Order: sequence, then C-alpha cells, then structure tokens
Amino acid sequence: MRMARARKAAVPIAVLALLAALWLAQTQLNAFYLQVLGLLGINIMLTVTLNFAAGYGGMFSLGHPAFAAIGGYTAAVLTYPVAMKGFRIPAYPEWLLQIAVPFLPALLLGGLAASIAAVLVGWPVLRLRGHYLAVATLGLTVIVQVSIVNLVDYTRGALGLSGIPNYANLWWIYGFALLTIYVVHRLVHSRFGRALRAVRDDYVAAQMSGVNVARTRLIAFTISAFFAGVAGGLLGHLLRILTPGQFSFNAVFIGVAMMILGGMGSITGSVIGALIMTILPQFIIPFERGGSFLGFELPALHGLTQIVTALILIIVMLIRPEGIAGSKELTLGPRLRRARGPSERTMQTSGQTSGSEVEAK
Amino acid sequence: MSAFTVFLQQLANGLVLGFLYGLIAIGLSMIYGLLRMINFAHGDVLMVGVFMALPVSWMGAPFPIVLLAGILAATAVGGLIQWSIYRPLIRSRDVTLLVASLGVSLLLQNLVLMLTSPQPKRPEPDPFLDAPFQIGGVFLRNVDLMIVALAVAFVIGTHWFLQKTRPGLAIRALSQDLSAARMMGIRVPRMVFICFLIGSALAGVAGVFIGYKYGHLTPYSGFLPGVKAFVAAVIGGIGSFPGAVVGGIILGLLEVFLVGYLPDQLAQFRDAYVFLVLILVLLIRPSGLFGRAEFVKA
Repeated sequence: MRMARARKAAVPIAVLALLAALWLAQTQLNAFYLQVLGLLGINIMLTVTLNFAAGYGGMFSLGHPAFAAIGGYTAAVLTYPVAMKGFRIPAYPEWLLQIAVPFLPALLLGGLAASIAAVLVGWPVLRLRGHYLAVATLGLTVIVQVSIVNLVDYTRGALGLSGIPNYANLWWIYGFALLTIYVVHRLVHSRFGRALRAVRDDYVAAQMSGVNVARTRLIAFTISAFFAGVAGGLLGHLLRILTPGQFSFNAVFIGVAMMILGGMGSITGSVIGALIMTILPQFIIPFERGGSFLGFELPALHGLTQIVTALILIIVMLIRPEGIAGSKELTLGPRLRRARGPSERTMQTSGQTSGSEVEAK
Repeated sequence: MSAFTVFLQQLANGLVLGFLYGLIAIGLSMIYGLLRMINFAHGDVLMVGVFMALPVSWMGAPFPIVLLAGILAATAVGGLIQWSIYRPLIRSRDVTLLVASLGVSLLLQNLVLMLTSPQPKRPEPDPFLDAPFQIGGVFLRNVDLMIVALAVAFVIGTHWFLQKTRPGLAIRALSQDLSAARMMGIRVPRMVFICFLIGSALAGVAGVFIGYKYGHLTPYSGFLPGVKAFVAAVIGGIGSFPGAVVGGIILGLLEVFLVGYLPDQLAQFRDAYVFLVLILVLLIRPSGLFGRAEFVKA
C-alpha cells in the first residue's frame, strides 16, 4: 500500500493528541472517571481483538470472556503480593508463592495462557464449517466459569480474587489498546490477512489458491485470544479484583454487542461500539435501582442494561446488520482514500456480503 | 445399596435427564438442519413457556392443564419470535441469525427478570407426580415415569409427522437441499415457521417437566439446558431427528454417570464436562452418530 503524505503527518499528530489527552486525564480526573476511561480502553482492546477473529476471520467466538478470565487470573496470580499469597491462594506450588512477577511479563504470560486455551479449543473445532466454534467457545466460557468458582484455593472462588496490585493506569491500558489496533491493522492488511479474509469469504477458493485453511484460522484465533488474555490482565490490575461474574454469559453478550454495533470487519467500528457500550450503561444503571426521575416514580427495573444490550443486538441485526461502520475504516482525508486505490475497497465490501451468504444455504 | 443398584439408579436418572435433553434438542437440530442457525434462544423459549404456565399451576390447575399451558405458551413465544425477528433475516448470513438469537435470548431472560423477580419459583407440587415408587431397588417418582412416557409419545408423534405428512416431507426435503426443495415449489418460510412451532412446543414440554422435577426456576434456567441440548444434537449428528433424541439420551447418561462416579471434588465440574464432551466429539467424530459433517479440510 502506498502511503499518502497526509497519512504520514496525520498518524503522529493523532498519537500526540492522544498522549496529551491521556496525560490530562491521568492527572486531572477523579478515580471514577479514570476507571470508566480504563474500562473503555480495555473494552476497545477486547472488541478489536474479537473483531479480528469474528469479523475478519469469520470465527464467531463466544469465548473471549473466557480468554480474558484466563489471562486475568494468570497475571493476577503472578503479580499478587507474596505476603498475601500464602493464605489467600495457598494451593500453588511453593516457588510460585515466593515470587511476585513484574507487571509486563505477567500480562504477557496471561496472554500466552489464553493462547494455549485457544489452541486447545480451536484445533478440533476450526477444521469444521459452520458455527460450531460459537458453541464450543461458549462451552469454554462455561468451563472457565465453573473452574474459577470451584478451584477456591487457586482463585478464591466466587468471593473473587481481591487485593490485586493497582498497576494498570491509563498509559498501560491505552498503550496496549493502541498496540492491539496496530497489530490487527497490520495483520489484516498483510498477506496473512488476505488469506484469512479469503478463507472467511470462500474457503474452497482459498484452499484452491494454496491457503492452508485450518492453520490460517488457528493462528488468527490464537493471536486474537492472546490480546483478550492481556486485556483480562489489565482489567484485573485496573479494578484490583477479579470475580467469576465479570466473565459470565453477560460479558459474552456485551462483547458481541460492542462488535456488531460498530460493524464486524472494521477496527473503527469496534472503537465506536466499545465507546457506546461502555458509556451507555453508566446512564442506565441509575434506572435499575428505581426511585424518582423527573417527577415519575419508577420501580426498580432489574436487568434494564441487559435489555438495552439485547435490543441493540436485535435491532442492529434487523435494520443494519453491517453495524455502524460496516467494513469501512475511518480514513484520514480524501487523499488517503485515493492512495489506497479502489480495488481493495470494492473487494472488501463485496466479499463481506456474498461469500458466506451463499455458503450458508 | 449394592453397586449394581447404584448403577441402575444412575441409569434411570440419566435416562430421564436424557429424554429432557432430547426434547429440547429436536427443535435445535431441525432449525440447524434447515437454516444452519444455532438458536441460542431456544432454551429461553422453554423458560418463558414454563414461567407462563406457573400462574396456571398456582391457581390450582391439574398437571395436564399446566402442561398444555406451557406447550401453548412456548409455541406462541417461539412462533412470535420467529415471525417477528428471524423471518426477516432468513436470507441473511448465518452470523446475523446467530447474533439475533443471542439478542433474543438476553431479551427474554431479562424481560422475565424485570416482570417477575429474581427469586427462584416452582409450580404447585402435584401429589401424584411427586409420589415415589421403587422397582428393583431403584427409587423414582411418578414425574420421572411421566417424562419418559410423554417424551416417547411426543418423539413418536413428531417422527410420524415428519415421515407421513406432506409438510413433514417438505421439511425433510428442505434439510437435504434447501435450494432444490425451493425450486420444487416448497414454501420455505412457512416450513421454517412450522419447524419453529414444533421445536418450541417440544421445548415447552421439557420446560414444564423441568419445573415439576427440579422445582427451581429462574429467568436463567433455560439458557444452559438449551446450549447443552445443542451439544446433544451435535453428539447425535446435527440435523438428524433420531440423532437429536439419541444424542440427548447419551448426554443425559454421560452427565449423570460422570457426576455419580467421580469423586466429589471433580463432580462439581458438572457443566464443564458437557462441553469437554462436545470438544471431544468434534475432534473424533464431528458428524455425530447419524449426521453428515462438513469439513473445512478433507
């Protein structure tokens, strides 16, 4: 791809603006807003990485909360203060109880653990057509959930693993979010990414062109799980607590909603989707408690956030199944659009609708 | 109790659970066979069915009336959802249907949560169904017998419908080759609608029985049985009618035997085993017992 000059200038400017905004936020905002902003960054990361698997790879995963849980608990156990390990999570081998790993290696090891889980689930399932992966990964979510609850001496069970050091500030979170976006963007526009999209759109044609279908899918799925695992690690070190409830079916639904609202196959869309689905609940939660609003007495509306999420899932599918952004990206000015050339754009949009539609019937 | 009696008891429990899974799996398998759609809301239709039958039971209606109410409610809800949400999407990509069904699932769960309360509920206990009896050292209740008897009856009824009637023939043709069947003049949307009605009705049967047998119903009671029933359909071979029933029974037996014979610490992982079984089946025999698998790579 030929780089336009506008892009060369625009990217550093955008990054600098973001850095300045992050610095302002980190120094000026109170703890509540910092937490919401942190969650936003983590949600962006989770959505972009889910989109890489589901939108670009056609691998509809309902297991990303499980990957986040695996990565989160792994990282948390590694960084957990040695003084508290002995009586809170005593079941680990002695050498592990004696060490507290620095944040970065702990995050990466968490991502690695999530990747291993992805290989174990993906290897048998990704050879198959259809959406067996959705059910198998939903199963992974159940397996991880049940394991966290029952392995009390490893995870503190339903109580939640509290007292995780507060390492994840906005710099860490947005650093990793940007890294995720960068890596996914580069991968999608590489030879590997073209192979991946070819497999999504027509696996027979891809196979004929010499793409190793199963391997391509498995690699992409593993990479996607890695970033989900790192995001889980960030979440634990932002909230300072991990509970099984954070990675329940609810997390599955919200993750899918963030992705499809923005658009499967668009990084820009994922960012928008994560933004909406992180901010919106902050306005809905007060209604769930009930009370008086604008003179009206409202009862406690349990599950209102979930109902809104559900309606978003349904209405987007009925009215605009391609989501807000479709498979388009936010481009930096008309010059860039020309520089990219029309060929790739048309290829991308037509492939998005035709291939799997035919295959499905 | 001798080891053999324990075995028989587990066998009986597993069969009863298996028939429940089978009833739920039929609808899932039929829909997947037609549309390649994993209907995640199937279990929630079951839940809504039984929740709408609960007031009937509390008013003192006998079991057959409650069962009928549950069937009607589940059928109505399933049909309504198909007609209003899935029908407009029938030509779109299979992911669209899958996401829509996730949305419906979440919607049903939380609508019921909002309209009722989070406290678990149960139907009014029925003295006849709760009456225990014993054969050869195996303790059961009448409800267990009733589950097996009615499940067999409904399975035979559905089988008869699929084999002997014109709509049944049309549905079988569709699941073999949708576009060819369409060219033969079969009205696809109508047949899909009928499939949803049948599947939802059978789920309603299972729902009412789950209510009477376990008596602990929450808005989330349906989702996991629904997903497990999909696993059952995969074991039996997705899209295959006998496969759904046999797969359900196998899954029920597996679940009960694993929980019964594993040491206590491992038995807690009950729900996890079902999905480990799924992954194993997909690894070893993805076509299931009676199905045709579709590999990415030969």
